Amino acid sequence: MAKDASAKQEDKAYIAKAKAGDMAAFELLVQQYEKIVYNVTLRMMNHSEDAKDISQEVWIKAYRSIANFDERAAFSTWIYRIAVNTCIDEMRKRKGKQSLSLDQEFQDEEGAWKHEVADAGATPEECVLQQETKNEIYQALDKLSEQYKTVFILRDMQGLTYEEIEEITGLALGTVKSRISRARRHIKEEIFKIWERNGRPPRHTNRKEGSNS
Amino acid sequence: MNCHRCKELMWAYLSQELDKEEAVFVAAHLKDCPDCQEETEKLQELMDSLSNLPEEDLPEGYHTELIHKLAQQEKILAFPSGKKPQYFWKQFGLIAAGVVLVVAIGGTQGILKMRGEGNGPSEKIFVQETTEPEDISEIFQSAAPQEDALPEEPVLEKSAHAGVEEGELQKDVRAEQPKIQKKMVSEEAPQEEITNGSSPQKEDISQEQAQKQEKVEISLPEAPIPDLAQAEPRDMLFAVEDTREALPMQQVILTVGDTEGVLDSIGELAISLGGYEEFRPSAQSIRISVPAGKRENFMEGIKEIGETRSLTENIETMDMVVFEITVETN
Repeated sequence: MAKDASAKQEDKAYIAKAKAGDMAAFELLVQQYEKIVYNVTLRMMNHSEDAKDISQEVWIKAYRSIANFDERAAFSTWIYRIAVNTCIDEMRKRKGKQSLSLDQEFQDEEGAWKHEVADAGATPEECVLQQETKNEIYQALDKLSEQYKTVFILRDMQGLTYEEIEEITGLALGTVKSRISRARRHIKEEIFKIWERNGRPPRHTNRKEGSNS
Repeated sequence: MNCHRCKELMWAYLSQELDKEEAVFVAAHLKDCPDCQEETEKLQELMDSLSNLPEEDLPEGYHTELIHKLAQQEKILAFPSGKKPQYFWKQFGLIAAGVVLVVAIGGTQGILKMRGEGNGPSEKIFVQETTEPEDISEIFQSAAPQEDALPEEPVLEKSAHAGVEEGELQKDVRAEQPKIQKKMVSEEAPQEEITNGSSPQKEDISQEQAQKQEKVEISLPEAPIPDLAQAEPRDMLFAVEDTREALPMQQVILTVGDTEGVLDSIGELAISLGGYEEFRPSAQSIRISVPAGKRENFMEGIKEIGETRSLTENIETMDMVVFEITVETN
């Protein structure tokens, strides 16, 4: 999300045009941010098909409200906010309906996680390792409630600053910090548990051999 | 006690988020505590996993699908009253040298009749007022950054909002179009000439209707057509629209064997050439923009779909080349 000044200037130019109704300018914004939006949605939803639909819905919302976008704010923050809120909302809608089936359907007796995670198109070995890592992370993430999951993803997966997260979520900085801290504690415990259960020590050796990209 | 505190601070320590005092504490403790050292290594491993998690590529066809969805939105939101009155004009100005193509399948008589009429069809096309979605501002409010510090659960509140919006939004998307049609047919009937350009078109407009509409660029909905003689055509048009420039479109008729999927193909063709679908005034028509540099490529592509006839010569106004194209079945 950290962009240099000229990129931000560029954003501003596109935004001004998009606000005036220039579809082509809006598309340039889409092009710049669609991958980020898709990825944060994927991390929130842990389902590629859902992530596609929801992230596209995010853009439709953005398109419908771009005329009112406050240009003093960063576009990236704004689009993140729409994305995060749309995901949280979707998760809550589903919670009531699907919470049981989620656990039963996606986790077998040994705790192996069967959530769908998109294939990143890596080599087979990388694929296995990445898939494994992803599964662990998503398994741990899945146990977090939305508000902890959100700040954790934004900070430790998307690499945003506390201030950016503050702006995106509308939470006070202190709240952001305490939530991230709690989320980290939880994720750490969960993943350490998984590593223990799978009899797998930290994989520095594995990863170094396995990844040659 | 020190171990507990060290473990609490460890993640922030490794992320270099701690203040000096805390960092010094953790560093000092780690020197003397093998337990915590071990945990630090594990945690570093975990953090590496997180930061090394690759970004996923967009699914195949994602961008095209998204732009198509946005174009559908544009169809609904293209002319919200008051908000973006200059919408298309600005857009076209900025695209600079865009090609606008309107393809209407069926109902070509009316368009043929228009030929040669002084007032370009297109100036009317952009006059339509659609119902304005009420939820725009709501969405913005929920989506826009808020400067006030919020209480403990603002995300929750906002997304509760979002839930309502979202539902409404979806409904609106579907409900909007019929509303527009209805409005144009009933309330705006006297302004037929102004609104019809973007009116939804029916495939099976009769010859008679087409005749009636001969002053109208693009065929009207089948719904009862008021006596056009009573409409205040040109004067009214310019009275309403005097702040806008005319945007002439080049008219072309495209004859195809089967209209099935033709609009999609045209939209895809436009997108593949760096253009995009503007919107579909009806199930049988489409309006798209293509960069002027791709005009020839676009026309070539269109010719592969069917037989083309130009109703007007290439019009070049300023930087724009404008087309208005009609498709018929053979």
